[in-house]
Amino acid sequence: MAVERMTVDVHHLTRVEGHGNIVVDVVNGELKQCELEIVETPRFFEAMLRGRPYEESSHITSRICGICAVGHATASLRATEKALGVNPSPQTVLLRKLNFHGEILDSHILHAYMLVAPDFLGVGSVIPLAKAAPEVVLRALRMKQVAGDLCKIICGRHTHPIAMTVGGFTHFPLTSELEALHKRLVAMRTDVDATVELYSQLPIPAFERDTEYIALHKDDEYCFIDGVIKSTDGGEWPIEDYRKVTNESIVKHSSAKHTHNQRDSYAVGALARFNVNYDQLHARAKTAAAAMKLKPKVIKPFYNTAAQVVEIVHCLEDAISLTEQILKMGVRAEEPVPIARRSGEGVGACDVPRGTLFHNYVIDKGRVVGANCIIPTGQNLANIEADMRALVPTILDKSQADITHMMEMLVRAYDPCISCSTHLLNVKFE
Amino acid sequence: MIDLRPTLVLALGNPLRGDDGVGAAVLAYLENCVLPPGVTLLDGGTPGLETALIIRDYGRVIIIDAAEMGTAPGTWRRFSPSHGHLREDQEALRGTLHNAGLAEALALAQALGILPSEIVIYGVQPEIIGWEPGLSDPVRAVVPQIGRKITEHWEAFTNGQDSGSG
Repeated sequence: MAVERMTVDVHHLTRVEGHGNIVVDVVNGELKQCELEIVETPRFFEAMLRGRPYEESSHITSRICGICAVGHATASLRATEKALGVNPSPQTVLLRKLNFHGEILDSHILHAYMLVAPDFLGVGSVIPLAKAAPEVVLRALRMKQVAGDLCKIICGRHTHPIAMTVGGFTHFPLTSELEALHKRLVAMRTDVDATVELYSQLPIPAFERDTEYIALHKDDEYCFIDGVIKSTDGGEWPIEDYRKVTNESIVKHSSAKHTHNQRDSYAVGALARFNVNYDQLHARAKTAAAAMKLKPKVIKPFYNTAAQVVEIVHCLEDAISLTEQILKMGVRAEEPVPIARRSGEGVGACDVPRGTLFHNYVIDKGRVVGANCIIPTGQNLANIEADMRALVPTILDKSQADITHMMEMLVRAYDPCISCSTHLLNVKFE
Repeated sequence: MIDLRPTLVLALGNPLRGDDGVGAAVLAYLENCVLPPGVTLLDGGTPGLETALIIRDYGRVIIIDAAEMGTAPGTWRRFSPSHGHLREDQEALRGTLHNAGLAEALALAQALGILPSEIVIYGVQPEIIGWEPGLSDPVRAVVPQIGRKITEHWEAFTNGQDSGSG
């Protein structure tokens, strides 16, 4: 018999970035309320950009996030470059790709080890995990250190990069630095293999719900920068048409907007990229996916972290090969490509750790006059709630504590970055 | 007994933010001093959890950082983290880990069993942690004092006279 009333009220969910609440209310087995409330203060970055010289945009917007600083900077630079008619050199493209891998590795390792693994290993946070299994946490720290140093070599520092600029870089890695990095990346394979082994053994919940997955796509590479927008429901859109895909709308219980495309909601992030771009994965990443029993289309949201582990393998292998390519070419200290005009509009898109990120700028006589940033977590919110609504009825036989924990794990699986997603300008309460 | 454990002098903070650059300033002072063998100077910038890995290879770590102690600008104290002066942000440890700093890194190193046996922190009360580089007068004035104190500290331990307490 159904319990008369069951409520879940998680105020400020832990091990996610920013502030969100989970609210569930079940009466006589019927779901009355099931929401992920976003209570983070809006950030107003788009307003901050208005009136600023275009050169400052990437430095301002990289402050949206300390984890995805390179992702925001890259999307921002691409938006500006498209607006002002700049085509970066092949060397810049390679360095940006390598830099990007450093950020994906750093973020995914943080999420898989420090934020998600404690749930599966029955501990409350990374500190007891460090006591119980120090070798696991040390492995994570070792890998994060390599990833951070990669970004440091390419762009000065990972958080709020310095050397990335419109049209290129202002600083270049030394051959000796790239050679040392290459050695460390190759040595990192042992830790990455151990990560795949760890995630092959974790009891990841098998809950599934079919949904639309969206990611950037290129035919000839596993895409993180530029490309087109592609859906598992069919359909490809140029990046410039992002509004046709995101369709943002305001909901009462969230200071971040919700989005939908061909269904009521869609998902972005590692699992979406895996589903859209499986064919372009490195062979070693496909082997890792097979070890974790992942084959597209995967519709199990808890497996987003496993898809991140697949991407850890891919990004490491691609970083090794990019480093070799750059060393072979030899790094030249080239000037950034100059702008072709001082006014225009451009859209930059990157698939950052948590999903597809859009920056859209209108620039007039060298100053930003309009900006729109659409953040991955905002695109996932409606989908997370749809998962919550589907999951709750299937676990009502469990204790309230177990239900609460399961809901927390579900939200955490999406690796939400809540403060990034709150960019809503008009909030109306009734 | 002469103590030859490798020693790390770790400056923390952001020189672009006023008195937060005091660690880097003391490090610059020490760069002009004669370093005893086994002493490494490192600008750690704004630290994250990986600081745990940086300090694990040393027997002694001397950290210099701006510290809010509620005292007059430029006053400084030498203390050890075990004296309870450092408050780690519990939310950062249970929560996001997106804001983890020195206290969290030390707590993690302790849990991992890789905390160096001696950690000494030189905390300096800032006047302004603002949005431009440059130290305030009272903080700039104490930089040589702190530098000298640190060199005395390692002179003492290389002569076998330092108790290691803060």
